[in-house]
Amino acid sequence: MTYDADVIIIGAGGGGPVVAKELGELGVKVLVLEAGPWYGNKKWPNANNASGAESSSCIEDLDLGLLTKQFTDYEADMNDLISGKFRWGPADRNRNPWFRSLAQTGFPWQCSGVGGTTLHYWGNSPRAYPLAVDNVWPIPYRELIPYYQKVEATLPVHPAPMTAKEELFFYGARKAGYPLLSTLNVTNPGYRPQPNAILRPDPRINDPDFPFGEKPAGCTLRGHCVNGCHIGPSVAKVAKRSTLVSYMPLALETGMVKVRPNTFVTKILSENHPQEGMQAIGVQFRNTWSGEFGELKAKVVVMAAGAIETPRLWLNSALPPNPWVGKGLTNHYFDCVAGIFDENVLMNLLGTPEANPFVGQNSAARLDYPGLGFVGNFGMSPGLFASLLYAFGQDGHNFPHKSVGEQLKYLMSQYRRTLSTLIFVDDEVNPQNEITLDPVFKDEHGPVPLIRYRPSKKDKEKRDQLARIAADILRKAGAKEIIRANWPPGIFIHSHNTMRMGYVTDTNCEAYQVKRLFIADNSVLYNGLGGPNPTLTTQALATRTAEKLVEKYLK
Amino acid sequence: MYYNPKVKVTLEALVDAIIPNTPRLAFEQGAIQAVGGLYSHIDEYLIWSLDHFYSNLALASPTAELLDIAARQLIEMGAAGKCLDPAACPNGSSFAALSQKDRLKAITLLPFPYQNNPIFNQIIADALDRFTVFGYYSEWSGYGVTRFAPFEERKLEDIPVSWKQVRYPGKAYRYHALRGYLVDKFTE
Repeated sequence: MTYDADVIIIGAGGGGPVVAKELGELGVKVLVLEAGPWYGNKKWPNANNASGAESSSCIEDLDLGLLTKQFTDYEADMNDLISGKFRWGPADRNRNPWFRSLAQTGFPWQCSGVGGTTLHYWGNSPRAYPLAVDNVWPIPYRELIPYYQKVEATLPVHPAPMTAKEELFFYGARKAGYPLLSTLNVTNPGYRPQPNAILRPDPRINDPDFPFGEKPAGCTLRGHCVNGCHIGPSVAKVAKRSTLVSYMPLALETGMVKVRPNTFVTKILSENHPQEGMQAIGVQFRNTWSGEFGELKAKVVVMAAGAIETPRLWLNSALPPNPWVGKGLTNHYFDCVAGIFDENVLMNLLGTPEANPFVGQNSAARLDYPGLGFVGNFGMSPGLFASLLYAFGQDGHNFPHKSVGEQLKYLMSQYRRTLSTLIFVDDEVNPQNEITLDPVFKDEHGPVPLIRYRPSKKDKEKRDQLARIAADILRKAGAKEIIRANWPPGIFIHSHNTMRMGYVTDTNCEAYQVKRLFIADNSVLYNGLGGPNPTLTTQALATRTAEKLVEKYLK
Repeated sequence: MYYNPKVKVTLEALVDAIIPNTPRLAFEQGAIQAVGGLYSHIDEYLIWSLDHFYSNLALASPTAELLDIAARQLIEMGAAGKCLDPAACPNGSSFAALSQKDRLKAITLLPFPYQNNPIFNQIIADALDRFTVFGYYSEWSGYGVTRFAPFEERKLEDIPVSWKQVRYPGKAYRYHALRGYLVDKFTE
């Protein structure tokens, strides 16, 4: 058989580029297929308007000037769920987003494109709580540590810097009686800066005379993590370390990795091998500009399309049935709690009358609470801020209880004196929470995923408890008014566990039923990690998976 | 952007209920707080969003129709408070004839089933609020006359009034705002 590459990786989001870089460094020939556009690459100067080239494999193709032009810092331009550059849809913004069915109110919030959802993530990179892994996962926590360390050094990950909003959050947490934590392996409740993948600001940042120049190194605390960071001297040194600017340039540097954006994989190709049994031999794909289908072959295939698309792809490929494919979906059952402060309270505490949600990194402080989850502070530009806090809550049939009308305008008039937090619940894996194929709706890539999630009674109790903790922190910090958004359970910002290790894959993340098929995204995580943000753990596992697949098939 | 007048007037009424003019807030905080979503053409943003977010179905028109049915139901139930005479309402929209408060109440009555999907109108009802709020507080209205130009030709012509209302200064290149590090280095 002739191969297009040794390994095909499906998806260039949080996990895929990690596998690509690790394999490239081991001398393995890799082809990465990504459904969405590639921003900041000269081969696609009009990434949203023209099909451009077929592929890129050269670091010289990366262009910071182009990235800066494309990442405009405007939230509708970047993050509109329907037409934004960061949406789940084709590169061509004149076409509608790709549809997902939901069995409830809500929506999945994911991005297509090289970098995937890390394009707009906040860069937070905590490890799992050891409590959620040891004697729970099929592998122990200590097995993950060297891979965590490798990813933390590569991104790199550091304690986040404080601005006013973080100082206020920490003050409240301290007053509420929690200790400061400085460990990466959190076993007890406490507050700490976010361990995040954002390059530190220049130490001279507060000097009014310090010339930043056109291309400063490090974060400039400008509050646009979510709208697409482009701050840095080159693409590979942009401050917020989405995989677009971290692992992907490192992968290209190996000279072994080729990436095709605008390439939606519609099917895993497999065959029965007399000795190995069923094995993956390649993929079928569709070019999102031309609509043409094609096939590509490789010795090994890695699925890294995310916790919604990876099970969809398995199911649409008619691979052997497994009762756990698509099952066990968790989403950290988010909620949002905020406090509004009086000017004099802020003045006394911070020496400034405002907490300014648009200043600083989008989320740089957290309160960890193993057993419940965690509370993280956040601040953003006003469209996203208002959406999360005042428009995501409740569901259609509780409309009068949303913050609307004059009340909404009053609350938003207090924007600069509002400190907001997000709640992330250690929600249970439940096989009834699932990705299946919609029996009716299809798009150009086959039956669309149908998403269903109901929190358990215990999950609800944990969320209520975390909401009380968040409110307590805000009150202790001096908030005069507390708002709880009460999000419906169907908002998917984090999604995991739909192709679980130990059920769908072995401990090397290779599918039990299909050899040479590996998984390297949030779907393979055994559980929701106890609440912490999933990206770092997925990247650590992806690092390990690259090593394992080479050992097994490519030595 | 042209739209069937009844659809337009119905969705205008919706935007006007979610983000109304607020003279009282203006009295308390300053004149800038007076205007709401319609001043910023958010009805147009909502119509465009409804017509583009769901596969290949344009949903603005059926959504307006549903809102109107819900409004008539509210009136028939006697649950509507002070209500204009629907017959007198421009373009015959009962929804637009309701008070702002009753319009929000009517949304909870969106009739089942829609597209044979009982969840679907709930999803729509939820999206109505999300689209409107995001559209209003984002930069969208600042695109002015270029707001429906091809995406790459849009230009931010004005500061959105919502940004002035919340005192968002717009995008900045840097802030001299570092307050140090609570932890310099994490430990194992």
